[in-house]
Amino acid sequence: MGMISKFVSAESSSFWGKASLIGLFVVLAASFVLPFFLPYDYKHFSDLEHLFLKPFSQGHILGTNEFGRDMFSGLLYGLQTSFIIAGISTFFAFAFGTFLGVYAAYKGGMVEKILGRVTELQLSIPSFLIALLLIAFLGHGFLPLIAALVLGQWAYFAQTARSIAKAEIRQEYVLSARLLGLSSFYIVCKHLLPNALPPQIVVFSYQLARAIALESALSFLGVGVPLTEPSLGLFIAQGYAYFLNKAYWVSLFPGIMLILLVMMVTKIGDYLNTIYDRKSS
Amino acid sequence: MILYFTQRVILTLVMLLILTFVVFLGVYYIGDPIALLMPEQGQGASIDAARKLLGLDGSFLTQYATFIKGLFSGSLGKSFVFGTSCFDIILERLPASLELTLLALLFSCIIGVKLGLYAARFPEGKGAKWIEFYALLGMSFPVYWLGLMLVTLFAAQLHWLPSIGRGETFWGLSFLTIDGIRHLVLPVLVLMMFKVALFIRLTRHFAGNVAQKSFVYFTRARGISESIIYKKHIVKHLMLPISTVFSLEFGSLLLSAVITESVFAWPGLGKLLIDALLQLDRPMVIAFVIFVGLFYAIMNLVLDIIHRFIDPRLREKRWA
Repeated sequence: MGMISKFVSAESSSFWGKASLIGLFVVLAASFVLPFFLPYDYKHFSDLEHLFLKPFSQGHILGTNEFGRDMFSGLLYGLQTSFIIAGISTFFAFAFGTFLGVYAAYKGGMVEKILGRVTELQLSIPSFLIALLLIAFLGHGFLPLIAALVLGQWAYFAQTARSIAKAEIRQEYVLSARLLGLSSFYIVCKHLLPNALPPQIVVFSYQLARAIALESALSFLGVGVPLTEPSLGLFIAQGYAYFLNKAYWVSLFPGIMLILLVMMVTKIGDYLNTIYDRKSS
Repeated sequence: MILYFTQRVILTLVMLLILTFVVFLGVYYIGDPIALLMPEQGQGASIDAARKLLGLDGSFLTQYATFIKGLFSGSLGKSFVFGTSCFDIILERLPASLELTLLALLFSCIIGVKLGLYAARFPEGKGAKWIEFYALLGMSFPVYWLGLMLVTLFAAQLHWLPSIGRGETFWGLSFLTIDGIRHLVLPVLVLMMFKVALFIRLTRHFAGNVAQKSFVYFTRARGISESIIYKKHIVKHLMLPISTVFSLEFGSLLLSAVITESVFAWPGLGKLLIDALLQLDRPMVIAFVIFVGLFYAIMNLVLDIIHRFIDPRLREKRWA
């Protein structure tokens, strides 16, 4: 219990936070580098004579699936998809949301009121539903998926950015910058954005975890990445058809990997949060 | 109060009208439904006929007008797949989602608040650590994977519980029959996994804050036992935030239990949406979006009014 209690409590999270950071780095590096060195590439190698090989048989560490493709290599490619899609979409949500939030706080008045209302409305509707409906209108594929994730997430960034920037605007240095005659654009970019950044990094980490979960959920339902691409959610869905009779490994390991990944990224968020709290207090 | 109410209703209607316009604009400019519906080698004449039949031959504004007219007659257009009014189908699916959502939320709220209070009362104990561990695990578990694992264990391996559908219903509700309850257990458990974690985090946070207040200090000084302080006094102060979260979660769960419903083939709203998406049933998707808008607008309105009744301080403010 000792380890677990350390893992969850926020005060002593630095060890597990650091461990998660290292773990994430290892997984990230493995998913992009290892596929070059594996004997059976998921994308190019399909051995129809050896379907559903058990884990650890004939060089297939995690076995093979219904097309005789190597699942270990598949898992790595699935992780790549998760990282790329979640990373890009969270980054754009971050850029878009932060800019809008800071801009609204700086402008004040009607602009801020309208943006506040829109953000509130969006936050009350689950991002999963927003993403799903957007995909309905934009169609399937990588770009619509990323667009849907961005639009499902930007409001979280906009909200934090706005509240931080609002507190910052009242500071004297912003007033003196205005009195010096600096342009609004300069003040927003040079003074407000850098100050809104540290808490945004915490939000970024939590949102990255959510984006990974969202992407896999959408892919699981068949509306995420194209059906021919490797994705953790897709593996779970495809493997489940064979789960009961023989091949549990096709969907079991991607599922475990997904839980670990989401937990690690969440834990990193907790860790960054404690660092930020310590600095600001 | 009446003035406020009318203002809110008018504002809501305007917002809904804007929503329909945006949705319609989006659908009008993205692709031609005829191209999807008709076979590729269709004749020119039959394409024209189909266009006329579905009301797709006018300009943007005439089409929008037809659409709005349909809205006011309450039909929301005809589904391409079912061939009947989309709105009727949504209403038909509503009870299934409602009972699933309400049961899951109710149980999660009771269990989550209890566990959260316990964790707040004995923050250093072993129990609290396990509760916190669960709160983290519950937040990061992929719902569909959990659903599949539960189906494997309880339905396929042990044969204790059925895995799909609603089972026998009484008055359109499953929880009134034994068979229906057996069908409800697994989906409700899956939905609860995340929500219990949420209520734990929420309760622990708020109870921790309330416990610092001076009235708790004085109650303790009066010799009231610790367990009564938590069970009677602190719980009352949690009612407002918990009820707000409850209603918000109710809305989001009702409309977005898509994954759970599709894993368990539960014929609710989420299943309807994902089926409509996969079958490219455009009118159904539009109807669903408008239903979502309507639902949130009404819920916000009702919440606002309820809060005004609970908290007199809010009554003075004008709407902003």
